[in-house]
Amino acid sequence: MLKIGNKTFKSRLMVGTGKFSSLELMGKTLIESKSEIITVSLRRIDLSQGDRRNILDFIPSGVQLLPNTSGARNADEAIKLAKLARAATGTNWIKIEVVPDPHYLLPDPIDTLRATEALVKDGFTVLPYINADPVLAKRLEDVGAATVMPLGSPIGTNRGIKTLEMLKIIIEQARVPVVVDAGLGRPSDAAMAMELGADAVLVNTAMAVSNNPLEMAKGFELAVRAGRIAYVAGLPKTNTQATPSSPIDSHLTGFLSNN
Amino acid sequence: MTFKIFTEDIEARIKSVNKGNTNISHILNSKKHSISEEEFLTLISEEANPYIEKIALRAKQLTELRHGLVKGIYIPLYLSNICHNDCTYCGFSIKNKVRRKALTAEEISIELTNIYNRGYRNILLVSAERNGFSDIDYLKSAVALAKKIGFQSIASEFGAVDTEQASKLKRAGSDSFVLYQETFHVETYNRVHLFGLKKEYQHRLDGVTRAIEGGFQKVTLGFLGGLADYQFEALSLYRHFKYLQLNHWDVQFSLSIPRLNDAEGAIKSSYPVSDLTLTKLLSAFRISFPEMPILLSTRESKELRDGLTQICVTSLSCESKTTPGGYVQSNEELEQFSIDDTRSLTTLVNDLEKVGLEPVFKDWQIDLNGEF
Ligand code: SF4
Repeated sequence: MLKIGNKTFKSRLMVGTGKFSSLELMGKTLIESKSEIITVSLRRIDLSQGDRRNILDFIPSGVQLLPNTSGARNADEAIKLAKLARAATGTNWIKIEVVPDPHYLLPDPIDTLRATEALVKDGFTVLPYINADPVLAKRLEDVGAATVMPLGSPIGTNRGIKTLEMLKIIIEQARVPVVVDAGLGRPSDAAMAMELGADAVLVNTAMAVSNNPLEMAKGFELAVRAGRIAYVAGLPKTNTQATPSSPIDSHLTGFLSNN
Repeated sequence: MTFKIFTEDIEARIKSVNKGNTNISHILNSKKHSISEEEFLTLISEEANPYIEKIALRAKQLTELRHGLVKGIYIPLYLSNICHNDCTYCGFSIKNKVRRKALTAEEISIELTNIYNRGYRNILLVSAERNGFSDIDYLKSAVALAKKIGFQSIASEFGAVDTEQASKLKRAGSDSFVLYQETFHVETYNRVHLFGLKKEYQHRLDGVTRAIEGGFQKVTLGFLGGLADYQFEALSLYRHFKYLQLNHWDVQFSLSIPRLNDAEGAIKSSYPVSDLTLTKLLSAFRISFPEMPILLSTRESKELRDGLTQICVTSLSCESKTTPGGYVQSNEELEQFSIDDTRSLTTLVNDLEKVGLEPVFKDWQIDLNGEF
């Protein structure tokens, strides 16, 4: 079971709600993914109760809603959005996204740390989105982050896991769950993250813009479970060179038997 | 250091590009995050025309990856057509004897409330440019009104303001700034801008930087299609974007290329931009700047808007009036330019949904604007 804060979850697949071709399709995809943690941008939620459709009405009931602070470019904005999100949705879970860079949508490490620290003190369960930076991950853990969410590659690129070496270090060192977020373009990427020992993954673009989001959600759901099972079972060791199956000439240590 | 356009340099660069067709597939299959200037020029060359389908397909892929299948919806409100400039292509030019009108605070409030109640949350406030921009307080209070009524994103299109004026607009609650260079071609620029502050080419060009210094973190730029050679305009704009991105890494730039159409007293276009050319340009910008929002107004036809929305456009205006006010009180004779796509909001929403696109009215939070 995945444990975040004081809650436990069967599913290790988190899903994002942006970019879908319709709210109906989004809702169905979320169900198909069996996800229990669903993230939504506060900036997409119409707080005015206008008569236009509200994205929240399309999220399956019973899941853990994870509002995010997308749109925030510094810690103050993220804190402000987090408080609005809490008031609007009633949950104290918040995914911190502090993204000052509109080109690659890479998160700001300094302000993410600042916002996390402030919001933890204010009673939030904080899940910060970060670059795959092991030291930053430890610093966030120290100030009370409930998870760390390092990226596999920039958001919306579907490039897969390009931060492999750093992710391995983060996973090795972490005392909080590690959720690989962003860039997972195909189920095999998600499976790979899980095989590495990630506790969960977050997927959005790859499902939302797929030709068939429902089937893709299924694919990811299976892949995440497959990767997790393999990780728990213990992956067989792979060697980069063939191991000699019989003793061969020992040039280096030959002197040992030369007397 | 300011950004400058060197006409001969741009012209020579366009000529020097190797436009070999074989390049196109190579460019479109590039695994890089973005393409080079040379590649951009190849994509917008005349030689690329036969490959438009392939170019559009690549643009579509990148649009979907980066922006998904959602399309932003906004509406413009013209505040005033009192203008102290003489632009030969515009019906509001000081030389034209049209009825002038600046909405009063009360009228602005009535129009905005009407618009808000129809479901819009993103508004573009537009005003003709008075010299010296003496009416900054007028514009600022229009922004403040929009914020008070509940709009979540407020764009300002008021001409090339100075830094302090930009800062006032930002603090009043405007989150994005719109400034068209009209044309980057200096000679043409001087020929079509006969009178007023807008006559100063470099002042206009530097306006974007001043808006950013004033605090804006979202800026829309573009040129008016039809005034000069489109390749010249596109390369100039490309370079302006590159310059701005390098110097302001944390600002989001958006693109819009409106085309000249008939307005009262306006000149005819000497370099008409065809639908094919517009499609090619917007697609090439998408491929060069996958992250960039692209806007398209109702001055284009329904067919073209539907087509380009599938390919690269991410934000559409709707039900626009280009007269001051016009949503509650109609003032037909004061139009700045005529509207082609007159679909109602309901129809536009249905049309988008039919092709698997989700119209989005709110994708910003007013609390991220201005001071708090
Ligand atoms: S384009 Fe703008 S500045 Fe020029 S005449 Fe028209 S309203 Fe005035």
